[in-house]
Amino acid sequence: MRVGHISGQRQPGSNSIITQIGLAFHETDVDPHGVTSRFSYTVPTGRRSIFRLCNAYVIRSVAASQAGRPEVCVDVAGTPIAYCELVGNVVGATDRVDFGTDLVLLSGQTLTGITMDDSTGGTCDYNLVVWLNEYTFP
Amino acid sequence: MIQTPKIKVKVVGSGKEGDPFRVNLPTYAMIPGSEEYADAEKKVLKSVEVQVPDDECDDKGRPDKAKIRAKYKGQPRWDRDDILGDI
Repeated sequence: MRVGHISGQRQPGSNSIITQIGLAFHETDVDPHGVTSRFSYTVPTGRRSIFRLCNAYVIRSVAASQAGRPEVCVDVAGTPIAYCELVGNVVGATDRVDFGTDLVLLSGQTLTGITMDDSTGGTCDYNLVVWLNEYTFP
Repeated sequence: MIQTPKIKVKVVGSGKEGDPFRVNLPTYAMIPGSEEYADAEKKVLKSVEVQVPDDECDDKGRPDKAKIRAKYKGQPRWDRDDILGDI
């Protein structure tokens, strides 16, 4: 897990200290599997985080004998904010999402990165990247 | 950038919607390919290696209860005595 402290930086007009949080999961040729939280981030007490950017994709790498709906998603407080799902069984088929946002996560809220594949046989490649800025309030 | 050590932890959950395979820590990232299965055929996860923030670990790189409780003070899920019981 990557945690970067930006020394000396402050949000304009406040004494907040910024910490960068990078969360990532990338794996190729993954067999079918249950719903799995690949990473989780909980906003610490007395802090807030801004969800800055997200990249997620799923690619069919080996055809399944019976294709399901492989998916990769990012949940914030239990609600999906990024969601990719493969429909069909063609090798190389992909679904991806890239976006930037300013969603504020409050103290105690949790962000999770999830993958799932309910196919029979076959494999998929998955990628999930999220960057947040965490603010400490004096 | 800080790269924290990898630690092996227990996986909880059933892998179904609403009860995903997960680790009972507030913040973690699973290491791809580190999964161990209780049932390899049914892909039932038993343990996995994760990285956690260094300010939640002790000197040996293991999750530290006091540090976690302090960081998430007042949050019912993590400011408890039994938070590391399932690790």
